[in-house]
Amino acid sequence: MAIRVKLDHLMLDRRMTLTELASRVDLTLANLSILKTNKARAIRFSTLDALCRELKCQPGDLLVWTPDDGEST
Amino acid sequence: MKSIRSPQTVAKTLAGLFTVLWWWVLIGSCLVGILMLAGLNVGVQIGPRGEPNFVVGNGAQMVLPVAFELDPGAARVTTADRRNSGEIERAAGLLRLSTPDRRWIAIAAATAAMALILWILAELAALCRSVRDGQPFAPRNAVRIRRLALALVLGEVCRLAVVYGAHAYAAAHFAGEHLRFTSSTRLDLPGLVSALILLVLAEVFRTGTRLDEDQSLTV
Repeated sequence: MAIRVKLDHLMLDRRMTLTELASRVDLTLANLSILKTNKARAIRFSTLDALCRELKCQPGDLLVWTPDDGEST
Repeated sequence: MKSIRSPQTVAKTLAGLFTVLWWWVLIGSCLVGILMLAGLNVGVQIGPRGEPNFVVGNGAQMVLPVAFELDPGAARVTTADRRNSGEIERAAGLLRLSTPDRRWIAIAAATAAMALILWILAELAALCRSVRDGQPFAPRNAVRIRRLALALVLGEVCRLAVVYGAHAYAAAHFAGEHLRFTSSTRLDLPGLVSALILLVLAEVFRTGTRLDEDQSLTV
């Protein structure tokens, strides 16, 4: 997947644990872990909204596109 | 108003039914094997449509499906009041051999058929169990359904071969008054259509599995 979630960087900056963030955005730890480890296939706008609200960031701060092998930028 | 039975309940019932059938076929087959080892006479009965069955006992024989044509005179039939008449063109029946010379071939074929039936029942039971557990779109189920479809096709090919072989054997080795044995067999179209439906269902399950996976990985 070329889209990566920079959740770990943002959580480190905000000194927030995964458990704390999970309770704030009303997600299960398992689901947030899927997002953090870049295993997610899709993200709901409601989830993105909650993450941006709690992490005080823009969607662009959370998501980054990296080219796959053989893909040009 | 009574509530409609949930898919889980139906799947639970079907899973139980297939499991019971599986044990019934297995125990029956094992019993036949034990009786054969004990020296008892075991025969095989192949039905008109090629369905195998073991026959156990002192007078166990081999029963084969046959097709035959009757002589024009012998094939004429009339109603009781003789106002209407007809002629039998083709007839099918069962030939009971009192001293079968190739009994082991029939026993081996029947054993293979029983093994195929056992495997189909086990796969069906596993499929129903996964539906009962609320996971119908497990990746294994699409493979299971595709294999069941292929098993149906394989079973139909084997059935055709067995019925044709029995017909040909009777035609080559037996003769009777006023009748001639013939070799013919008919394709079981509903069976083949069922196999095609299962193949389509396997594709549906494969797509369903992918969508289910996408859904579970949507955060």
